[in-house]
Amino acid sequence: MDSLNAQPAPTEKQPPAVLVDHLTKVFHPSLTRQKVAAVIDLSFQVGIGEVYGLIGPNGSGKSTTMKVILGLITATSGRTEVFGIDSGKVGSRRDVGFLPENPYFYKHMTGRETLEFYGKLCGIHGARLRERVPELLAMVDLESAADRSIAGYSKGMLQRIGLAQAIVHRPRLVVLDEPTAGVDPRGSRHIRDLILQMKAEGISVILSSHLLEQVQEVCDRAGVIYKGRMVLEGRLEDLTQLDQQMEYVVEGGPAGLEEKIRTLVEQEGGRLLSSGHPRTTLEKLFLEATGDRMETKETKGTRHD
Amino acid sequence: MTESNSGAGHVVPVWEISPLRIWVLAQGTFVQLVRMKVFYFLLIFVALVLVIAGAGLFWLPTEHLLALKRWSFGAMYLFTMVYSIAATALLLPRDVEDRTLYTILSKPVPRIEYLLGRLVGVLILNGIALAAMFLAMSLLVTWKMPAVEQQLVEQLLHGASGEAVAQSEVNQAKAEAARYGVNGSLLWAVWALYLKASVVSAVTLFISTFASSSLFTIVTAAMVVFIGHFHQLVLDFWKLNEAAGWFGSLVARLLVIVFPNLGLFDIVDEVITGTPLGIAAGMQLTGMGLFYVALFVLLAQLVFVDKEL
Repeated sequence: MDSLNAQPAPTEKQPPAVLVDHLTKVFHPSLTRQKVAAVIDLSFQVGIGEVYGLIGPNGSGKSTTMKVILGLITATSGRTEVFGIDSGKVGSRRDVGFLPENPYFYKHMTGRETLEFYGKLCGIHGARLRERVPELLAMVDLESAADRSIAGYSKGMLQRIGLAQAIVHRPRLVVLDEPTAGVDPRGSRHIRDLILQMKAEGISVILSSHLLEQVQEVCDRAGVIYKGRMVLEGRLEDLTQLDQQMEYVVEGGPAGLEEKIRTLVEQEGGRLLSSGHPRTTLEKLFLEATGDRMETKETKGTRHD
Repeated sequence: MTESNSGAGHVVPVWEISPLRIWVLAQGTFVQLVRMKVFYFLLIFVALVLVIAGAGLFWLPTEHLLALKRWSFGAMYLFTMVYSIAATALLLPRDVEDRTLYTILSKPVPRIEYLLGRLVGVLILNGIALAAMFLAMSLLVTWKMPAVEQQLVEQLLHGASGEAVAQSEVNQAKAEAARYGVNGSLLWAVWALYLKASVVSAVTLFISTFASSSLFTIVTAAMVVFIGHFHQLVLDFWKLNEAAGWFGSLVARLLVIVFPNLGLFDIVDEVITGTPLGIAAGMQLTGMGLFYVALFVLLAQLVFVDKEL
């Protein structure tokens, strides 16, 4: 994938990776309780090779939307398609990988067995599977823990093995529900890198996350869902740009430069809103401070969350 | 086989039901149950039959053999019923609770394959356990057979009180002894037990598709098994007792229709006392077992296919 911010336009020949068209989902919890409209008239598309962020507060309808796309629940009205196939059909899931929020896998299996199990379910057998599993274990950095029981995996390791099972069959669409929930910054960074790797390989991704900074970093486009409705949608670049303001970062200027700039801006009819030393992020500081120690722990396979 | 249009615009065939995927799920289920150390029960079984085998001094050989078979079959019955209900009841609700079902069904796995895979896994476990227990019992029965033959021949000689006994009578006594040994009827009895366990597994699987918890599934399945043993009684009541009135008759009809007739498979008592069972009766049992399993899998699928996860 070379066009980071490109929004591939779906053509007649190539349908979008995901089409959600006027989707409404109403739950009927029980006879005595009221109906709950989890998603209301939601529409969006995810292009081929695009990373789409679905953001919103808890209970806004993100997971419900993902479940409809995956055929785990049926829509009350509207339609959803995956690569042009009705998502209610089993065939639509042939090219889809899914990582649910807080995934649990069979505790009696090892990491390697887990990948083999899901690979076989996707129709991968024999030599192909024997090649694919070590490749995935290396990709998610779990080679040293491959033959350990899943029961002993940390949260971050579970997320990574979950990501590996999601892509075991080389899907063209990956759906990730809160992939970094509860994962420490290093694990979170690793998962983010894997998403970027998928993006580079042209895999379409739908990602839901509370970590807006992360969405901003990896997504081409995003939609904000609130109370089941899409309230904001667009390219990240467009959404986050403050059209009325400009930002300059200067290095090594002489003393008094700031005052000169302020004067110049005011002469031209503008106003200097802020100046000062740029700041790094807490995440970067954390990663720098803990880098070596975390790596050592991870290779030893110790729980770190 | 159906065809659907893939995203790439190519027409790609899609198998609606894949035996290979069912086998993968069945293997997974079997390994899961084995790693829950369910086969430890076999050690208890072996201990039980060894104790009974060692207690032979207190019984005549025929009585001893009868006790051995009765206790062995009792243990087999206990194992298969408990595991058919408990193991099956754990599978689906736990997968929903742990969300492992999401990762399985988000792959190209039709729900019927998931149900069949889970059921087949339990049936394999039951089959292996029953085969192992039957083998252990058969070894001990075969070991005890010469003593039974000797006892029957001695009884014959004793009854003759000094008169000459024809070889044909001795052979007849030996043939009589063979009825106590490992024979075709005994195999049918194990097969009937297996069929019954399979029906109970299918019933439990069906209940678990709409149950809210494993506990509810276990309790309800146990009730179905209990009532299923009185099927014939209720059927007779329906047919013969007109005095029960419309309500009694309605309840009886409902019970007969809703609950499987598990009493059909109770042939163990007759078989272990030496009553032979023919191929026709065995085939009839097999047909009924398969019918019930297919029926409850179908019902499970009807509930599960549109279940919101």
